[in-house]
Amino acid sequence: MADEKKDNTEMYYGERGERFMKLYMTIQRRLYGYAISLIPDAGAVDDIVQEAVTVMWKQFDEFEPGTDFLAWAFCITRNQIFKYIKQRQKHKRRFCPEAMQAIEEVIDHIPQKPDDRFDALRKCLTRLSEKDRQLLVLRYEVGATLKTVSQRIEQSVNTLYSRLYKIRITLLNCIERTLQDNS
Amino acid sequence: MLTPRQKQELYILLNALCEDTITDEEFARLNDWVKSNPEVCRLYVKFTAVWSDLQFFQASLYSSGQPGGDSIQKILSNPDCFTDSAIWKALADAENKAPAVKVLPADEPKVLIEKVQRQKIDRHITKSTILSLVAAAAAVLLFFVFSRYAPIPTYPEVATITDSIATTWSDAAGSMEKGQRLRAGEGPLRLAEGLAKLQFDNNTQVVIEAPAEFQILTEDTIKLRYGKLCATVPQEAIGFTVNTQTARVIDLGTVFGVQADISGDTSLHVLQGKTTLIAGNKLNKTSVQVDKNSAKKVAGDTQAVQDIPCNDRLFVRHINSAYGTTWRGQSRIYLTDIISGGTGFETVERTDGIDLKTGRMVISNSEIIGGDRGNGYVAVPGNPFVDGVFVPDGGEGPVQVSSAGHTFAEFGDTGGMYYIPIGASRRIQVNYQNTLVQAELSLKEYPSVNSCTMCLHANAGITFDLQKIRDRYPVRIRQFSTAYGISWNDSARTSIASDFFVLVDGQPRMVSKNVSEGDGGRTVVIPLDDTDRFLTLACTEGGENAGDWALFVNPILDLE
Repeated sequence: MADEKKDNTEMYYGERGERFMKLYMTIQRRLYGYAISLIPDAGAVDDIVQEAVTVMWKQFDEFEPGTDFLAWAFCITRNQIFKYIKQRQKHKRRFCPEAMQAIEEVIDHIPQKPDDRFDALRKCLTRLSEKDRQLLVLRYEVGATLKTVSQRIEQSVNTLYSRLYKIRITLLNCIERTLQDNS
Repeated sequence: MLTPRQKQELYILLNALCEDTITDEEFARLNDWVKSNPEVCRLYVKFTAVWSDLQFFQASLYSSGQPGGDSIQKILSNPDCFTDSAIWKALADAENKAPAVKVLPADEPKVLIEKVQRQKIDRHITKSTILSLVAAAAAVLLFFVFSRYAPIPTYPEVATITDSIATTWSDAAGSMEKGQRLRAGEGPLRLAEGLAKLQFDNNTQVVIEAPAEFQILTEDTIKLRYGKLCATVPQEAIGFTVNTQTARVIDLGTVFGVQADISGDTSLHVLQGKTTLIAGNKLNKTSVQVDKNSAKKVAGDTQAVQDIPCNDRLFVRHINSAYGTTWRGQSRIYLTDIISGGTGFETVERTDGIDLKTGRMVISNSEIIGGDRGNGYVAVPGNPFVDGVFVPDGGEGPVQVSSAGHTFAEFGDTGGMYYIPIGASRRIQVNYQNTLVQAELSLKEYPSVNSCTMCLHANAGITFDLQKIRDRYPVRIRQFSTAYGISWNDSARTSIASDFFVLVDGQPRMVSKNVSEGDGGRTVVIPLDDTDRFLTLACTEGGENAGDWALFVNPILDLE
């Protein structure tokens, strides 16, 4: 009897987990982008998204299959953001409510699928010079700072700051052009 | 429509946002712009999407289980694989390494799943089932959360509050007592009052002086929004960095102090070694090297760099809450200040002294004593650096000169009388026939107004405990120096001849006998090492048993 219950439980969580995973994987990048737009602080977003995913998992039974999973996830994440802001009243990178509303409206009207943007990024990365790609890899390494990167590749922090500035703008313009061409 | 100039300004703000160098004022500007200008808002969202996607690329790399290792090196050596195989292979690896989840076969009748779901709300579940549920949920969450977000670490602990004096913290989330660990990336901390000493795990020591607001950004970077701090950076931690609103100071093996004003002004004073100062937060930066005993100021409004005088006493470099002491890098201890109950670092005028019979701290000028006998070696409980005082009289045999039992047998037979307390002041006044007379050395190089003078009117002896100085301050005591002599206006100056003694741990380092007013001032320098503990100064009367206004002028311990 006990073994039967165990099997049933595993089947329940296995099937539930699979459904959750399938849905979540389609929105994870967009969810992260949504959070970092509203709280432009990678460390804070890490906490917020972790909390949001935990809540989503706990409340997954309440999600109505066939409805908009992204909107549901945004809603939960938005609540986590407000909770985070409330807990950290002095958080420096906090947009005012009007600015947050404006950002959400823009996000709601982004026409492209998130994969389109990601594919465009991949293409644009191939157009960067080898050195710029290397710099991006090093800069986005966990725990890396401009200083640690500057020591590693023996370039001044000033130079790296300027290079990263140019790379980001280049990528942004390239992605926009690519998305326009595709559409 | 944004002008090219406005676009550039926006991109500079966004880049500063990515690099965590954006100031409060710049973020406020961004906030207003995003709120009021739809085009700015759209560009902002697009920019953060790129930022987010780049984080994901790197997250994918780390999901391969080799953060900072082979994955990176592989890409560095073969950049072509950056956007294709490496990323997706890393993702695939992450999937493969995820914990196994039992999935129903595709052809399993759905009715079975519904049946299982109904069982979930059955309230009669065993304890083991609950544990299984929790474990299963945790496993799935671990898979989702950590395989996707492990690359973005939680805030690591990187520093410890090792000491504090009279601190009041504003908005601190937890206890900020001694021993509290601090995490990189946590919100700013505000020190409203007092002094706090932080030790980073790389052994850098930072003393922060209130009022101050700071944030530990990484294991070797601290941001000081306002306030004062002094960093002592050991060789192994070279590169330690202090950010302010308008500048960045990168250590090159130093001791340096940074003062940041709320207005954005930043002052850097390099006390040892050298640093690099980078002024400005945007692309337009100025970088200068600042060496020992130099100081620079960065203007908050223009971010212009200018030379300023280096103030090596501006910053507290060391605190010791056990004794309530602070050290600002002073290189001298004035024994006159110690006798007067001070810290030893000041030269302000005091009139306090120590009674030779009781060891009490007294107001020396008000004590008029017609002559009294001593009471052996007497401790001075009210003065931490004075071990004890005594009235030397060699006629009674060896005289105890320290609490450790050191004795000295070469004092003359004095009769064991003393007349006034041991006093220290710029203006030593001695009672002579009910009139206070200023005692001073006759030589021009010891004008009383510029000198700190200790009067050991014979017969008197005092012993300082050097170890208690070492306990309180991070210093080595290199030498003792002083001038000594008889006051020019001693009441019996024509006939007196006093004996002066300087002992270390009971051993004579200087004995000068039959010193009279006519000899003027003499100078002595006595080297000290780390094992020397008790420094004794004493004066005994001359043969005429009169006067003996014996003075030590500028008795100083030189530190390093």
